[in-house]
Amino acid sequence: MPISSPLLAVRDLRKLFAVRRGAFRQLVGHVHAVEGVSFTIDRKEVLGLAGESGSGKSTVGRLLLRLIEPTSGEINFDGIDLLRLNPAELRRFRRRAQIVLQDPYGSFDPRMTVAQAISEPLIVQKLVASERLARDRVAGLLALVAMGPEYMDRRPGELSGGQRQRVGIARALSVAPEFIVADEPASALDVSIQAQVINLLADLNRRLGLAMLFISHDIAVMAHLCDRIAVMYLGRIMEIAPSYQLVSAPMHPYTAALVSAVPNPDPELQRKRPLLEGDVPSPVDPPSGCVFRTRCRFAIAACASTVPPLREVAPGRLKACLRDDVP
Amino acid sequence: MLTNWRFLAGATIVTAVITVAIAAPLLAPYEPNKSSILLLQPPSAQHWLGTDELGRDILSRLIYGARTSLVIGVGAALVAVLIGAPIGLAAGYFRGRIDLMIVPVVDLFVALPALILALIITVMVGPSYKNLILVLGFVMWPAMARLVRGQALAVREATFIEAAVAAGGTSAWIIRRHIWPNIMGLVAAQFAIAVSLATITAASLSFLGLGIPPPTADWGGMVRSGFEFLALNPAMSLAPGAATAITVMGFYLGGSAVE
Amino acid sequence: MEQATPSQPLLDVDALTVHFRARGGLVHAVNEVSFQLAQGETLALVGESGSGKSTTGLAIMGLLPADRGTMVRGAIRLTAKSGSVKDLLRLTQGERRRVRGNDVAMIFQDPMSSLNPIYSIGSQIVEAVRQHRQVAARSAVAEALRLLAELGIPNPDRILASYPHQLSGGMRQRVMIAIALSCRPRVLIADEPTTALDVTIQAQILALLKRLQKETAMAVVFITHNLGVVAEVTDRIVVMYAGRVVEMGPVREVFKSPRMPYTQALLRSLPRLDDLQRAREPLEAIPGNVPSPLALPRGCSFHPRCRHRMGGICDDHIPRLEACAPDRLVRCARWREVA
Repeated sequence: MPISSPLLAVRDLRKLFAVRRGAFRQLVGHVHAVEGVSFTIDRKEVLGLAGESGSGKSTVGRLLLRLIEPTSGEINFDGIDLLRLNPAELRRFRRRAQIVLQDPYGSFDPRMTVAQAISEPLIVQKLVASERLARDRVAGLLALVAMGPEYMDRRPGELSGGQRQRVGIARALSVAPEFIVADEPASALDVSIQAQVINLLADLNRRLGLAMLFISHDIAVMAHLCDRIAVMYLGRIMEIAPSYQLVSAPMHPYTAALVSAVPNPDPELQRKRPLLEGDVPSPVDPPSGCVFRTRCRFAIAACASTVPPLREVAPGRLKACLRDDVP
Repeated sequence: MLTNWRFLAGATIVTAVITVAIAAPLLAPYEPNKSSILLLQPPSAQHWLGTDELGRDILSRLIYGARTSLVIGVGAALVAVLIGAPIGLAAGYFRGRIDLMIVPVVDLFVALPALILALIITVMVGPSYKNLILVLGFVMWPAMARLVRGQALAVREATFIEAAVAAGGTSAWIIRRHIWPNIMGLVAAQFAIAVSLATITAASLSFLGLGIPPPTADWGGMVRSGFEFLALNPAMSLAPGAATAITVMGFYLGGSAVE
Repeated sequence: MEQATPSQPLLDVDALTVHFRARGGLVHAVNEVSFQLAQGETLALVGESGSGKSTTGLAIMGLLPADRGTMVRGAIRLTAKSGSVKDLLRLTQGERRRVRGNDVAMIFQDPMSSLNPIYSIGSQIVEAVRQHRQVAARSAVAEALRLLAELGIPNPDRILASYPHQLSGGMRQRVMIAIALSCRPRVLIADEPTTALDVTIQAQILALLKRLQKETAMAVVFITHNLGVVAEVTDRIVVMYAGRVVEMGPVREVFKSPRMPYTQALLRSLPRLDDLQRAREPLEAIPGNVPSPLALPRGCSFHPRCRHRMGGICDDHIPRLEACAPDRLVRCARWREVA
């Protein structure tokens, strides 16, 4: 049980994107990307945010860093209300919280060298006067991600996907943040390289006490890296629990379906029937009440009229479901 | 880029024309505006292209005409870039109200034919170096703005811009460090193309009598006055016409090759 | 053309070699790859980027770029519906067209780019049906409806009238499967068909493929990098690395006791939901990077990353494929010592 207050506390976070059509850009509806999301992250904790496409998990990551502005809700970082910050204070906050992006190919300006890319946060935060003076620090950061100083003057195009991803991590670490949002950092990499990046992140969490929000669709990876996992569906959180418990004994029907759908590299294992039929509804027109009810085999009448709140059903285990007897 | 034949051809022509313009006093055998009694002479050993209706050496006028064309062409392109590029960049990067205001204006100008517009305005303000440069620049800046806007929009969506924002970069930093270097090439190319467009438009205007007033040596005007005497000395019109065409093509080739 | 003998496999890839001429040099995409496919069998072609698995699939379909820079050697023998055996690499354009869709069909990772966005789904299925069968338009439409229903798609008439962009990723993939299956091919090549799909949709599509295969006795070449999918749906596995086959055998046995260090390392580096006792310990990552096909290491392509490499042997010559057990092949000089 954490004694100190959480590092990050999110309450009722909402994000709606306007949908406009026609020559006059008529407002025809909203994409309910994130609806009423609440969770906390403790210092040195790795929280996983799992979900499939349309779940809103990437949007949440960006909202936390105010790369996108929320429609409503509260975000508290170390007691600071992030939504009240003026531009200067926001820039100082960015020194404490960084992001590692999914796309190792597009996340670097092709005209920059590795050293320039890694030192950009340092220069922008005025921690260093120029890239030339930062070279020692850049070398140290590259060593932190197990890359030699010979990479400093190379361009991203000369590196492999895994190497680029590690440079992205070095860049995020340059300002010594306390918290990192990792948005699918290993998804675009070859399987044999993924383990390298995952191990690196776990190592950084252990050694530097770095708190993390690890966003991914790969539950197996998250079970390895994260302390707790939050499962999202159509913009809402369905369940939050410690990783081992979530995966071995899920308490929400969606989590159960998600976990059982992951193919296991063990041919001896009994092949399961898919538990989920149909496709994800459109986030422009989400179902009323519980958004999962249209595909849930345990749905009852009340599920259509009530949005189930995220409640604690056991110590440290939260789920958003009206029924306690499922799955 | 150096192996690209279009760029090489264009760069060669442009260099040649600029050299001719700068070294005019050294290259021209006669004073361009010095008239003589040898009227309408066909090409000869003393006058390689012959003389015009006032006895002036056509070759010398051709050489000095390069200056006029370049000053107007480059000047107008500079005006177009200096107005159009910042506006396009602001519209593409900041979006919002700036963009909403610019887009209809740009679309309007792009829809109108440049020559007609330039013609009407020049008739109103009268032709001079300053006016021609300003008018042509004014007619061309919206197209430049539109292209720069498009490119700025595209670069802005790149993931590395999001990374720069996450690092704490200000708009000024992002524009200076990321947006501008990635659109610089386009702007340089468009500048060259604008020079070619301005040159041909200026030549057309002066062919219609709206160019730099005489006695200044000016290719369009030379084509116009040579028209009446085509039978006597076709070089009078053909030479400046060819010079204009080659110059326009040179800038265009060089500019389009960069893309 | 030969006539099929009873022992002839349905698909026989024999020493397939594909080289491309690229700007940086010669890309050895596929090197002497051989494997057989029996009727009703699902074979997994497993590898990471640069392994040559997709190129192999394209070679079977005859979809390799046909320019001067492409060099293809070897043979791909298919026992066609007629009973005759054809070498797919040596067909004329016309013969190839007749084989494609009819005897061999292919589905791809991204259905959006394989479906024409300006034609309705119905017209695309009908076009596929009429390509190989002389049927009237009306019967082709009926056939299309039947196919969609067979795939368990609700409201097939609505789907027929829709356009690709109106459907979800999973639905588009089902449509592509319907098109591929419209002429009852004997061999289906599935190139990463579920990689771009959500994991719950992937489970549906894999179950669908399994069911269809059981019903039609179709053979499937399943190209993927996902070993979990391999374990779930395939019978035999062919592991490729840098353009060569490095291990081959029944899925159960290869997973239980892999002999090639690359296969062993790959299996050990995967995070597994069924083995959470190991959780929070570092995953066993494979050091280094997949080699560039323009600059393959001398000797065994995997040796720079292999913990069992032995100087003088592994970096000297390319090991041959040896039988390490009945119906199992491995390409490693030290397979007897490494467990």
